[in-house]
Amino acid sequence: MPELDPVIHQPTRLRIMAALAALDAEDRADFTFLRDLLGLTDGNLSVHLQRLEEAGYVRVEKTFIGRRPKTWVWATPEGRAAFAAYVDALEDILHPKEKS
Amino acid sequence: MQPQDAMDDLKAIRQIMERVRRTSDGFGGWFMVLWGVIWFLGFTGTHILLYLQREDAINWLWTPLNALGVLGSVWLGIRMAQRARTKSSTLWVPLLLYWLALAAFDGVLIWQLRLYTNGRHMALLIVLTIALGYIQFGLFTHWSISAMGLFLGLLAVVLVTWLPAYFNLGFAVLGGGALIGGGLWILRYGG
Repeated sequence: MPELDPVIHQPTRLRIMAALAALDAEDRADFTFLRDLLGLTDGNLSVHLQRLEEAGYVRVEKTFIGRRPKTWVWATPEGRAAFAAYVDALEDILHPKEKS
Repeated sequence: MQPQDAMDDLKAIRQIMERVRRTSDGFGGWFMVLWGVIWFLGFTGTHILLYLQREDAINWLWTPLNALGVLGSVWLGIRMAQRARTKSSTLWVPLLLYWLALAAFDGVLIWQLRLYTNGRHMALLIVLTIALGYIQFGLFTHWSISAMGLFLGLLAVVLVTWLPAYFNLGFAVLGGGALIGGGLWILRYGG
């Protein structure tokens, strides 16, 4: 049985990483876009982002566009690698004979 | 974890990734609609003014329309940046500078080659430059933008070669219409 990353294994964090991994490597997602996409509250998303940030999987940047505050979130290369490894592990569970 | 759980997780991952890709900002859509409307009004007006033998008034038609387009593009860029879902959608300034550089290039050619003495040649140069701009921009963003550029370029060549009397009217309806339709398509399906 392949080992699953406990940080990403949590369902909400898995969905957050999936959303961020769908963006181009240099792109960033707006906090409110992520919140609405995943159907989370501000507080819930913040808590999970903090956990992912502590693991080094995401970065969060607070900035302004004009007078409007914006919070950008993006997956780090480590986060993308961890997410890809997690997806590979899921595939291994599904198709154990196809991979050595 | 059981295979069924792994399958459910993979399905959820694919759904979210697909939703993110589908819910792009459609950044270029509003710009295309704006310029499509301007082209429709400008080229229709040009056709009518030529019919009325009022060529002198064509500049008075296009100058405010182009100014409206540039101001509208700046306003749209600021608004899009504030509402952007992804950071790449806030990068409208380089895009605006790119189009201004193309406009400056056309301005020099029109001035040096005295293309302003022939309205159709001037319009053809501008339209072909815009078509080239779309093709180039699409190569770095989405194939549909390049397809739009290719269509506009071919339309210009076909109209000026075989239907010169309907160049302006054709471009109003087909060129402006394609921009409006393409813009609405991008807003609906992403681009």
